[in-house]
Amino acid sequence: MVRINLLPPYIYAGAKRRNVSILWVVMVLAVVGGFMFWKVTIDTQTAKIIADKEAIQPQMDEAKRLQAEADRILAESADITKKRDFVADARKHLATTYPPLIDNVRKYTMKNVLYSQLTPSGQTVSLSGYATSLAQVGHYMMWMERNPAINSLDIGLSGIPSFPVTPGLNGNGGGGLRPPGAGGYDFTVTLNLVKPVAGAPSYAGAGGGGAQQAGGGMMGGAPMGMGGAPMGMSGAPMMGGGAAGSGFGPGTGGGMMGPGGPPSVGGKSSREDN
Amino acid sequence: MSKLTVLHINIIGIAIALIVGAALYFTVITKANDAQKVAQGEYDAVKTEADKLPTAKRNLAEATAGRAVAIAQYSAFEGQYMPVIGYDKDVLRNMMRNFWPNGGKSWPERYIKVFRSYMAAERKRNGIVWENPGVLVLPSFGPDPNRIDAAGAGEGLGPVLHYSYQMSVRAKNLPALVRHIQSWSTARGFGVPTVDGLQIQGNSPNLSATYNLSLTIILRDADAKSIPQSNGRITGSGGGGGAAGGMGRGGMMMGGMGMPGMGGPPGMSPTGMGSGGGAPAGMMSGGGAPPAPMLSGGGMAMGAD
Repeated sequence: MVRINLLPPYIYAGAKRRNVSILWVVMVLAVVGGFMFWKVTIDTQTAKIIADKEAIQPQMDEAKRLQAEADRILAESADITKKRDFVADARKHLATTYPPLIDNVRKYTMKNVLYSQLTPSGQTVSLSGYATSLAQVGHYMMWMERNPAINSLDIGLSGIPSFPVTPGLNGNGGGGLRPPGAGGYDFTVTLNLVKPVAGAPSYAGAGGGGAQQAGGGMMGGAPMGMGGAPMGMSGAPMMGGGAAGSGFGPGTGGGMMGPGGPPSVGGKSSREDN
Repeated sequence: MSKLTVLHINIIGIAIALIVGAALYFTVITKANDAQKVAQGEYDAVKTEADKLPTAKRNLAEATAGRAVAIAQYSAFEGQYMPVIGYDKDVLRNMMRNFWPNGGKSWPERYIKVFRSYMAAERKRNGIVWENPGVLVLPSFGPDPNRIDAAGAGEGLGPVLHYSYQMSVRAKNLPALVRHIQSWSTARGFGVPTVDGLQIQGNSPNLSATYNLSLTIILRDADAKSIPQSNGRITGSGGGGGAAGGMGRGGMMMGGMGMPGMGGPPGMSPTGMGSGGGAPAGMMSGGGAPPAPMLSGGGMAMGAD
């Protein structure tokens, strides 16, 4: 026997609508509940973060305090550090600027090559020299060229003979270092340094301003007024003590020899002086 | 309600769920997320700073040690290089004691003496002959106690004083000359020496060298604190006697002739200006006052040993 539902469908429609409505209310409540759970989860994480932050806050305060203390000490000691650094730099400059440079030049100088002038300045060292033969000048160049402290060398040499060579010709003549009547070659050399000659350090104090540079050479600049006529003897450096100004100097009276006095004949090379 | 179908109810339910969800998201969740971000940001900032604690500890230790080292090292440097000038807080007394000839006790006299002593020692040590001792001259400091430049023009009494000289020396050989340059670091009591512009000429045993010598004096604390305040009740003007060719300061002194009477027209008397050594024997008229004390005789070596 077949069962036949003779009831019209609308008989169940009301219940179905009610059930669906209830279902949707429940679903909306579930959505609200889900969001609330999400929020609580986030708040919990936030609270943990805040707790962690508060836990490391003293560490941060300590770090800041210590850093501030370190900064204060650095600021306090900046002046004395600056002074210390200046003196240390000055001492270092005295020890490491000219002596090693001169030593280097001497090391790469051939025996029997005599220098009459050596001037380190900036990136270069200028030298005036003398060698007894052209071959010695050449050997000197070969040796000096190997100097690792220089980038290049520039030589000035005249008197290289033309061809055919006159028998017995040796040198470009002239005076200078050579023995009277001796042959040989005077030459100049400019060494281009790898490391330039450092300038001397200066200290101007905490108030800034440029330090007075060496070799100021003020003549008659006293603010108290030195009268009218300039008193500076603008010629060569003083030779001796003058009228009443002598009586000082280490064991010498007046009349000291000025620079560039007559070179001694047959002077030793710098290497031989060692 | 009775007219709504299940489909309608579903659509309405979906719409309400979406609206409620969106509303909750954009209000509650977003706010919570923002709060979390802020907290996280604060935490990160604090963490970053807190992580610097070891660095801060190290920095503090280094700063403390660095200060101690700097103090110790500079103390040694100061003891070696920096003279005690002994300024007097009374500006007038300071001038009279320290900047007028004072029986070897004034600053210029002591400075010159110790400088010369050093060069004399260099002669014994390295055989260095100082060819131009005449460069070591300090000018008259005049009668105005408020306008004393102890060293370079404009430097006043410090706290940093610079002197510089074009030195000319002679040595027997290059090593001696190099030792001489190096040994400037052993100088005592007249500033920190630096050498620049070296030029060497000639050859052994008659080697000449010129160089710029700069001396920097950083006043000791006691001296720096004792720099006197200017006194507006005192003014003065006048030139100095010809002190061993002494003119210019801190610079290259040419000549050193010490000629008496060198200088300009004697005494600009209407204004009380002192003559620049124009008067015989370097009489100085201090601001037009009656015969003033002789500060330095014309041409006499100032503070000669």
